[in-house]
Amino acid sequence: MKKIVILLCSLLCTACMAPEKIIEMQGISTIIGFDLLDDNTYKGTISLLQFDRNEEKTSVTLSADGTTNKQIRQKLEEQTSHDITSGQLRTILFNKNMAETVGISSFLDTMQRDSSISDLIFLAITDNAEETIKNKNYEEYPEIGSYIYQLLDKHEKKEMLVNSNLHDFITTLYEIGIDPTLPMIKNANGVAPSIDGVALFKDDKIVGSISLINTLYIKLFTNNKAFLGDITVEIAAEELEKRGMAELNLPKSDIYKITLHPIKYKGNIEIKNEELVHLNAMISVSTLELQPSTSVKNKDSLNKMEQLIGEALNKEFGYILEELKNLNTDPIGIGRKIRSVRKYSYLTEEDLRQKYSALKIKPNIKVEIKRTGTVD
Amino acid sequence: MKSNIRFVNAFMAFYIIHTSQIGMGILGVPRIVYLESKKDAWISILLSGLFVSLITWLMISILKKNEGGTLFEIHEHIFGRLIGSIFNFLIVIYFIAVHYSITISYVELSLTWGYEGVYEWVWVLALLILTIYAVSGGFRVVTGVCFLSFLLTIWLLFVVYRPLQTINLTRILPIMTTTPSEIMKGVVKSSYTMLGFETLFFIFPFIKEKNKLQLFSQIAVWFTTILVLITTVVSILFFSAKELEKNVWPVVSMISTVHFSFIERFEFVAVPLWILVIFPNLCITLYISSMGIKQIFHIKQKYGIWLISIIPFICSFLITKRVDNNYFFDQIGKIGFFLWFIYPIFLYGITIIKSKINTRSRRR
Repeated sequence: MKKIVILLCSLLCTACMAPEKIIEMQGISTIIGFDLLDDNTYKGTISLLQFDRNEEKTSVTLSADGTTNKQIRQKLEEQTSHDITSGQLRTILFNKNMAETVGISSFLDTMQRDSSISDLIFLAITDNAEETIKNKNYEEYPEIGSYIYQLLDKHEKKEMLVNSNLHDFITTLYEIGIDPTLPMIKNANGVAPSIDGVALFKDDKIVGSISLINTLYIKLFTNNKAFLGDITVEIAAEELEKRGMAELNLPKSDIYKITLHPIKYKGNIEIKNEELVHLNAMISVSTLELQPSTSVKNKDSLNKMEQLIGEALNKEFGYILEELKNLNTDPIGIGRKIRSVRKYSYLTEEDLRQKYSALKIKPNIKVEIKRTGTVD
Repeated sequence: MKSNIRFVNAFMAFYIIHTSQIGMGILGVPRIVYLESKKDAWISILLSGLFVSLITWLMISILKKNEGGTLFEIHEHIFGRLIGSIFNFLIVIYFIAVHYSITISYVELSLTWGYEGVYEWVWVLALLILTIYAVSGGFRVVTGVCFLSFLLTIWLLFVVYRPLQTINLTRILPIMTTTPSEIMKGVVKSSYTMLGFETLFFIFPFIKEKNKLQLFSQIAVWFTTILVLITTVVSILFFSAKELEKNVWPVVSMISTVHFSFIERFEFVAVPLWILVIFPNLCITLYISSMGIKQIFHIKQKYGIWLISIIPFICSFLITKRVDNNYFFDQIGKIGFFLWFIYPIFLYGITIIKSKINTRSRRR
């Protein structure tokens, strides 16, 4: 009796499954891009990784038209003998024009619903998804999908990209009081695709963009473990004189350029009242480069230097905030913070949008020079 | 005197109660409670845990007053053979329904994450045969299953470290914005997950040191409460409101952000592993319902096991759609709430009245 039961169990538990997936039979899609053709039809382009050793090409790109994401996929299947799988899908590209006019949230439904698509997949914006995927000028990678993935992954880990995977995007899209951002990929003839700024969204539509370097101001307040990227500040010489730093015997120059490397940072959104918000941040930096070469030894002048850098950053941040307010997009999540205060927790998304354009936001970034490298 | 082989140590009650509480419910509980009590879902869970702890204390008092039988025996003792049997029969039906709800929700999960297209009955049959095999071994084997399942799956708790890196504290603030009635609705909704402590009513005769049982069962229910609390809080912090309301299994979606250099999609490990988590649930519900059948019809427990197993198998052809399943779980949660959160209070009252009558009649 016992043996029969064990036998039955082992047969049932092992054999009754969907047929095995054989790697040579798989068309592993690594990237998919969407372009808008007209009102209802989209063009989908994918790049497939080839595993057949006899083939010289390592990748194949295919495109097809359709009205839904999965219909496009069905049509793509017609064009290949391989079985298209999306388990290794790493990046989804959206046409910029499409993201500006129709929005991209309708595409995200299937990405969430389909359990074979990872939550950690990257989303990005490009001028023409089909052309970007058909670009042949990528570096040593076997195909374009891997190249773009590495490009985005490196930037997220080491440089200045705000998190841009599917989970982050959907979370910020659905959340009241914060708007998502996505990286933009530039595609030019004869060169490999490259990152070119960050697109700002209002709901699921693009309303503007900021440069990659400026995303540091967003990251200060949204992510407490990101890499900020190096900061370059220019300070006019007369400004230094005004502060009484002339006695330092600085080399003569009209403008002083300083590049700083952030070590640690801490950002905090402080809600003073309904109309006034302070954005406080403290960045500990080490100096990487000073042009012309200057050495600041005494404590008093170091403090003044820190103050000057802070002011320069605040000034720039002020311009960016002004622009964000004009676009009425809130990637920093000020609205979310306002809503988390008990008094204002009743506010709806529309209320916040209205309030946001009239909100007084005071940037208050402080810089602390901790290290100066091997010389001081 | 019954032979010693039937007994287990009191600390085993911890594993039995805890593993029968944790099951499919915990994968979906953050969303289900969130739908009712929003940001304060965690308060609902805490209240629910407190309530469970009180009921557990009450259960043990009832069992001690009735000289330690199972609930089936207590029913017969209090209400007489006929009415007691009707009560017992209803409870047996409840446990069969719970058994099926666990099976089908696991089958649904595994069909969504990777095994699409397999017939439901194939899964149900495989799980049933496995369960029958374990339960046929008797109570000590069931206890062993609980113990092993606990040890083999508790490490999944550490997987939570990864979602912790992308949480946002402002999502839970401000606390206490929902009305008390919404929080209470959340408590009712959390019952499907917290249920399982009623096992205590049925394992009592098998425990060796009965005076230690209170301690270990309290540890078990609080441990469960803390686990459910952690998953709920992390889910609230991890997902934005709309996203959490959409996800059927928020915990699995959360696990899907975990990746190692050697396993990219950890959820495909976690989902098959979950079979170990639900296995004790299946064993215990089958064991209890077969025990009930034995009590009512005076047939051998072995036949009861096989008889009962036919029912989930037949159900697996009928109730399989997502919408139906959802309704089914909801109803079981509700019935379970009344049966094990409210009913023990009445039973306690009846027991006290009964014992007073008894002492009076004895005095005469």
